[in-house]
Amino acid sequence: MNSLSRPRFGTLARLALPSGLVLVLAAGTVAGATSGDRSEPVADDVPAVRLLNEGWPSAVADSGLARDLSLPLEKYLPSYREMVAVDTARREVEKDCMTGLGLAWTPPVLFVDPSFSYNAMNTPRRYGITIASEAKQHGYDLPLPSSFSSGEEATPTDVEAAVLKGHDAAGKPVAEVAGIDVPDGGCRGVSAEDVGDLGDSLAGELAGQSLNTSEAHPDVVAAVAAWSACMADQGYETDHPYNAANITTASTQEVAVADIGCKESTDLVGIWYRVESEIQQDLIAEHRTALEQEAQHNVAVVAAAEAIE
Amino acid sequence: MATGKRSLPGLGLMGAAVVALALIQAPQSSAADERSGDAGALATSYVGDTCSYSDNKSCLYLHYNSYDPTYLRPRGACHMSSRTMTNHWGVVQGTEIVRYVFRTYNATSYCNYASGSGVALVNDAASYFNDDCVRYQVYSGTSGQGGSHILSSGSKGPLNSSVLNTNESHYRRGTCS
Repeated sequence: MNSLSRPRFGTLARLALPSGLVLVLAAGTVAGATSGDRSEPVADDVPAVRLLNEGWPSAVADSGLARDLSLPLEKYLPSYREMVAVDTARREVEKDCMTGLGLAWTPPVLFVDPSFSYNAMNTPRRYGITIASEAKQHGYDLPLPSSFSSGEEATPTDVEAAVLKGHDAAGKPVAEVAGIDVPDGGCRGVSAEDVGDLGDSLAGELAGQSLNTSEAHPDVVAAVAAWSACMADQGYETDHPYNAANITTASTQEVAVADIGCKESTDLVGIWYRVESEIQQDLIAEHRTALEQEAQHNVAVVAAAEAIE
Repeated sequence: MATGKRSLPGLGLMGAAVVALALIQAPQSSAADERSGDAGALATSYVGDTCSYSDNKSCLYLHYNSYDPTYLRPRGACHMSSRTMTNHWGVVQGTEIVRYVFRTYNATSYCNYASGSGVALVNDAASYFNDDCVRYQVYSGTSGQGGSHILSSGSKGPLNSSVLNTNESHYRRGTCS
């Protein structure tokens, strides 16, 4: 019977987070024995995560109608870089946990399909599409990194899934499977304990409130109406930027280009941004202490992630 | 609920991204039926499973019901997925309209509560369980537009107000192998 005391951290090469590229490599011995319902264990020198080195988002949009725009609550939301750090560290811990129990570990490819938003605010597309060059080429679609390919993914075996997640298909906790003592919460539970989870329950909720409130603000309502009239002048009937992608009387590129042109002529993005910024400032003033606590929690989680070596 | 939500999906220009859908029978009574007449003579199917894992053990589950932490998993019918969906309304594939809905599945495991079964997925998800190996990002607009909620691997809970009952698309942020 295999058992897990604690995951091993000492054999991993240091992860680095320069702009644009992260790759974590593990060094060490081949993982342990095989038994029962499981696939081949993998060598420790297989990276626990693979990241594409292109298409990483910048903290603030560097082109388009949302260029240089940053909403006040963004500083409280986990950033792309922080999510990469935490997910990378957690997958490393889970890899150690799984291989330590003699199970296979297939490294995930993170943050692709397509390039990730810098944070959940999604400012470059929060008020609809804003980048004319993307619209001309892709219409409303998000561009895929050129190196992205989606292949068939193997379904984990029952044993692998149970040990990784710590529960069965019904969500019921599993303490032992195929002679393996499953750590509490599975290997995911181990990584959650050692690294933690980034929190955005408050900041994310307030970001939703500000968007919904701003959408009903008279200035935004008027700007959306002006944008809709502009679209109608160009032959496109639509009442809201989120709905413009459904227009089928022209190509998605043609509609998207018209959409952005109308946003520019009506200053829809600027008006909406200014209204929502004020709303978020008020929300921050009301919830500052709790937001700071959430941010401090995230600093600690990232520090724990970066301590994984 | 945010204002200005969609009234009619695009037809004929958004089918390219759909792969390997598991088609199911149209429910007898479904909110998804409300707009099916918009598409004229095209046949309509209703899909609650866009998860490619053979046993549906490692999917993103978007649930119709609100989150109740007293249960091991979110309850209620769900839409299970393991891929990017640029429009939760559905998609047109050739001569067929595929509408995305919540469904009830295995009586002893996932999505095992009838509430919401057959209801259209778009703008009606309230909670989630991300049992996949990578993050997902759910948006309030189609094609990654609007506000969003990023769901980490292994997490579950309520959808926040950015996308609660305003979900219109989601993107899978990686692959598992």
